[in-house]
Amino acid sequence: MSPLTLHQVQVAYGKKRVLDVPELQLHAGEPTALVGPNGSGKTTLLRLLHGLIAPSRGQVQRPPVPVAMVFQQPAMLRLSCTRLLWLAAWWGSGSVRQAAQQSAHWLQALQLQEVAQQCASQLSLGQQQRLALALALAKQPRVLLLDEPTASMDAPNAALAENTVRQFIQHTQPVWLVMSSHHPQQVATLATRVLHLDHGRVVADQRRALQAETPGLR
Amino acid sequence: MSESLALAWQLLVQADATVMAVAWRSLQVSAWATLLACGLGVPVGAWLALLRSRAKPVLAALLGTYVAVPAVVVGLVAYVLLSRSGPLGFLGWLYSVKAMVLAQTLLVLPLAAMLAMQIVHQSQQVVGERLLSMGASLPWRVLLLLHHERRAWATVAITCFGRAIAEVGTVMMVGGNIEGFTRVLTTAVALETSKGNLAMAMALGVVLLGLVLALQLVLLALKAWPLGATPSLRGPAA
Amino acid sequence: MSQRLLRYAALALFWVAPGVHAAPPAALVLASTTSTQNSGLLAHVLPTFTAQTGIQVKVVAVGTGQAMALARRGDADALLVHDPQAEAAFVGEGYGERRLPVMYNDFVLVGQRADPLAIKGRTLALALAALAQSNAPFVSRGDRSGTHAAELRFWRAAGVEHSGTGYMACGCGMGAALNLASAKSAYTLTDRASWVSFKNKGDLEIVVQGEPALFNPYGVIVVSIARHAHVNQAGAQAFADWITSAPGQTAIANYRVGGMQLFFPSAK
Repeated sequence: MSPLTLHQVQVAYGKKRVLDVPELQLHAGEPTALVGPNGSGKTTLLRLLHGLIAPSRGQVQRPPVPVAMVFQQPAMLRLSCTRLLWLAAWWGSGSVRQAAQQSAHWLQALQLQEVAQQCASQLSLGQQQRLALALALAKQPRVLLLDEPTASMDAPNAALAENTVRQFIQHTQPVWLVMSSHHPQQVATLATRVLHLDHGRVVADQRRALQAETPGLR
Repeated sequence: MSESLALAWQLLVQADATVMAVAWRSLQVSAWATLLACGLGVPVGAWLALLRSRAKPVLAALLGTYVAVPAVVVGLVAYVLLSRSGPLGFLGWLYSVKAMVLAQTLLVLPLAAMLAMQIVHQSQQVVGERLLSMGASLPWRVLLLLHHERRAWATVAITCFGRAIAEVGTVMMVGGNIEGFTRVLTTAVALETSKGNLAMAMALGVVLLGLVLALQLVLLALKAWPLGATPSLRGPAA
Repeated sequence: MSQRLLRYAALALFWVAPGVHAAPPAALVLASTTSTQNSGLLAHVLPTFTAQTGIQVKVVAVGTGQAMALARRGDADALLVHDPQAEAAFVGEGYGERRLPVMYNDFVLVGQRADPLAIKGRTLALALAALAQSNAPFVSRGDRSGTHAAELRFWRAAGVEHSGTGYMACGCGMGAALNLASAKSAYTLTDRASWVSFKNKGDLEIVVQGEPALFNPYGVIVVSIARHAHVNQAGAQAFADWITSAPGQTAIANYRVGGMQLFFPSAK
């Protein structure tokens, strides 16, 4: 499967250049983390990989597979969680039966059964982030982009989310995972490649083995 | 002034048949026009908000211009369309309530679209993007954003209704202010004024204001009901 | 959801109420002038017509000029107006078969009770000459109505052109013109019927009246079916016949305001 490639890519808003990546290849089965200070271009890179924005210069090559993203801010519809999940699953699979299956599965996996009938926009931020993850996974994506996915979650829920992601990428092949995070532990246990960004540039590119999770330690 | 208020009160309390008929007609024409204008204009406005095309600022400017067209000009256009010598003359709608509804719909349609566009524009930037990411097609995004902003539509409807029921230019042109058929409160006010019957004209104006106020209160009551339910448990119903 | 449904149901109820549906089939659209409507003549006369023939009359009361424009476009079935020259042209162009005389009244010149130009009692020609040279406010209809056409005829007949600064052409109906004249204590030409029934006279009163030139004849014209095939010819003809025959003429004659007869039957 052809990799996710950026070639001579620049993203600029007016005169301000927010991303400058001469060459980058992301491979399936190599979960990648983006780390760096706020404003370093992590979100822009993720949105670029998704296709929500186009580069001002250069090309982005994406494999023709479904892409899902968990955004930094959930911004939910005023719709019940089950309905929303069902829609996401239905748009992802095209089948009503699979939609029911997928939505039930992810609802349970992220332990959202209690709030299933509630209005999505009325959930707490942590619950909304879990729902956002469920929505992304219900699409059955091959490219999963996560933008600080556990920022508003407490420790147990964050661990749940991380485990869910881990299981997903283990059971689905091939999957590109690109996530931005401020948690070193999260990065260490999920990603085998770490890209350091600063002022829109990739300043470091590390590859290493996955660290085993230590429950309770964050 | 006090003579007019006394007269207005008298008309209302005694439920003067002519005035009641005229008031009812005003309500009907504007209610229908609002329904049609919102039914068509709100989705169009939502679609415009979601449009990602270079034509978008041009379309938005055209819409803004359309909103600013004076009622009498809209009436003139509607008259030319509905006239027997005009393209829609075969309908035979001129000087009827149908013509008035059509003309007022044309008048408030751009208002509904513009308001809807502004409302959806705010949420489409974030929520709309989430939907796009989830794989929703344009019709789905329009539908879901309309549903998402459903609390705003009652206000849009009231705004359109207020503009419709208060105007005289379009209904005068295509309705003809015909007694017993197409006379509404605003054209009646114009007529009484032209007869020099200023007290009566003012009284009719007060009746009109009273109508709009009553409607506002009804809708306020509808919004507040049901009471007592906490937001997180209510959620959206079927 | 339920409150939304209720809202829509409430609005849908409007549909059930009468008044939204089409007018009864044999209705006649009569384009007439503001003077016949505002004076109350039509409200007095038409119910008798409807009672006797079963034909509903929808009166569109606009200025003579607009009424004729409407009829030319086929938006009216019959005309009841008061501009003999325009009426003759209308018939001449084939839009109507003939013009039948119906009734007459007269024009009057109204002005400030104080009468600063000492016009009261003068002849029309002299009064207009005095007005033409002064800056006293004068309100003109300016809307191609019968009254406006008459006003222009009178200026021409008097051989003067209004050159003062007080000439206000409002482009409005008789009522609005009278309101304006009342507010500005201006002189203006009006038909007697409109004047008598006008309720906002202010400090105005009649200053010139009674001359033969001020004769104001009204005519009825049936719009030609040859020009507009959809015209309700039967209804229009029935109206023309009725208003020029005994019952119609009697109804016109016994319309009074404050004991005064406003229109005088003149059909032959």
